[in-house]
Amino acid sequence: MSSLWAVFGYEWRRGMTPGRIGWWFVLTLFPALIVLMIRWQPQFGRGMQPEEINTVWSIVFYLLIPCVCCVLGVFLNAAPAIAAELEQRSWVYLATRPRGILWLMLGKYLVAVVWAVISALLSISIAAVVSQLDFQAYRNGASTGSLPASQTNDVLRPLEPGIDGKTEAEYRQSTADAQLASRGGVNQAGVERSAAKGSITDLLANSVHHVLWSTQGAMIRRTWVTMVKLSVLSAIAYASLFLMIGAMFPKRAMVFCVAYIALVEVVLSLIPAVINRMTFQYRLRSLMINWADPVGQDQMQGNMFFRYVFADGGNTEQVTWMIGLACLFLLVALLVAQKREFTAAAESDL
Amino acid sequence: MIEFRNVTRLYGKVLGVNDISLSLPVGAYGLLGPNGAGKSTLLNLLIGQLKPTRGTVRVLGENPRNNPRLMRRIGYCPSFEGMYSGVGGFEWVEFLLRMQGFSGADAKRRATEALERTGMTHAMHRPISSYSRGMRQRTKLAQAISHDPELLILDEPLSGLDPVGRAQMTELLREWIRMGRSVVIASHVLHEVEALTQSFLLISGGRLLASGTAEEVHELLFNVPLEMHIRCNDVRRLAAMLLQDKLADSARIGHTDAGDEELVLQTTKTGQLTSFLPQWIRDEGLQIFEMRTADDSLQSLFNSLMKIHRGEL
Repeated sequence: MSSLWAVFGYEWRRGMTPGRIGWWFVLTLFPALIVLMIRWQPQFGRGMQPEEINTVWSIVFYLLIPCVCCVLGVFLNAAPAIAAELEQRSWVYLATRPRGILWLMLGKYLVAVVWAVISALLSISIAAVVSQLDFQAYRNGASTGSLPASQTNDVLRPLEPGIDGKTEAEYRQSTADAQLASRGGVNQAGVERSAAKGSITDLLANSVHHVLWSTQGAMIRRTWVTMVKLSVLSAIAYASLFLMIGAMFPKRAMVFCVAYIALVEVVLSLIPAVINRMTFQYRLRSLMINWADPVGQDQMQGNMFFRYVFADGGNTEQVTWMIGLACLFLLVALLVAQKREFTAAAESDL
Repeated sequence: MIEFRNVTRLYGKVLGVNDISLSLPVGAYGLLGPNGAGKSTLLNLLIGQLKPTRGTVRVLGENPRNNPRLMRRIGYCPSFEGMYSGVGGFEWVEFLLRMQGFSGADAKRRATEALERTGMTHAMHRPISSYSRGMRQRTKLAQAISHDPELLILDEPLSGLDPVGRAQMTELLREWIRMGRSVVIASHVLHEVEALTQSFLLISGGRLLASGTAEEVHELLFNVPLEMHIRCNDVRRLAAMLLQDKLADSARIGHTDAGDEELVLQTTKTGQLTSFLPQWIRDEGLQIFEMRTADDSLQSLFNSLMKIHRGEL
């Protein structure tokens, strides 16, 4: 096992290059940017119930983070796991160590998963906060008054003194805002004050407060927990898939991985037939429906298409399928790497 | 220690090694052969990176393919670099020791010792990308000896080293051999290996052509026709004189890269030839501009051995 941690630590340190860190930030911030753009839309949320808004965020978060951010994150690390060693001809140094190939593959797999999961966790948290920014009110001052009452009440729920370092005066002010809002005055006072200050940090603080304490925030929190679980599963699953493809086709690993994702995980997973059950997407989106419940189980049951592209089994079944498939792919990757003579390919290339 | 039984290795339709059988007891061996002879294939079969298409390989009594137990007993230094360039030599050797199964502290201690033995202490924390070729060679050797293997397999270990480095590494390897450890050294330069061991295996075209001691190899070299290239003012006259006095087995007129005529001859009487030439220069008005052998390595020997093998000599 010490070899595994040696590979993990070594690969982790090697990954700390400006280029890779740059990619990590891009992947982490990209979902937040998309959420920001959606949130920036003047029409967004107008006339929608909090549950409907939550549905939008659940789907957007799901598509952006477990499906894009995590998949890309593990793709960058797992797909070229073998190809990178072969290209720089370091393979033989590692393969001539006791169980060197096994520890190398598992170490790289672990790095890929941890790298993507940390990025996803941060990404979800930022996206959750950004999704609650009230730009509409910020830009239009008091004139908007368009947010649903439940949302505005949540936004203006007063703080208790001492929470988040609020002073007694600030507490009194937020209580007054809340009282004003409860009388139909919406968030005019608070927004005007924020707008007058021109402070983005106030908006962010308000947004964080909203996520943490409001009723709407409870939905976001549930979505957050769901996305964290899905991201972990997604990283575990797709890293094993990319590692397997990378072991099978080291010279064209990236191309084959992209092709596989496009054909199998996107197209095939949406075909209402038994074959889609062999895809990770089928399991992931079913878990998303079960855990975040953005559409409603009743609605799902009533729709023929939904019944075929979402699993109707329990969560344990879906998780077992995902972990089982991931273990299978990992096993195949390890067997291929052990059995193949990568040195022979290098020799015949010369 | 090493046993090959009718080992053949094919890369598709290309022969890597061809029907090699040998049995080597514990000791030091030089594997000699020109580039592309099959030396690296043979070494890869030894370390289990390749499996034979036919035949069986045994190293220290075990099948080397996917054998973690054996990998603890073997140290390998490939001919190519392949080290991570962004890290320091110390970090690289330490990492490989950790993969060998040593604890962090042990790995650090052994890495320091190994790099000290190869004379890399002063630069071991610098990134490998900043190393000279000789320094990389030393680092490669350090990783091979760092875990104290029973059998050291080295592919061109002295290439890229300056004369001082070469002498230091030769001494290090001599010390290793004196300690009773086994070494297999692949090289295409006879005197490099000769300084380390007296036991040779000659391989060319994937075949084991000969084996024996240094004396036996020199005997072979003595009897092998040497190819010489002579550029002079009258190549035809010189060719006629050489053939008339039976100083050349064969002679032909070729051209240099610059387009000048040169005499290409095969001779086993180099001693006589070199004593006659000054005489002809004085008496016959010959002007010799350039005289050289085909190369200074074992190529001539291997060419001749291949011809003997094919029944052409």
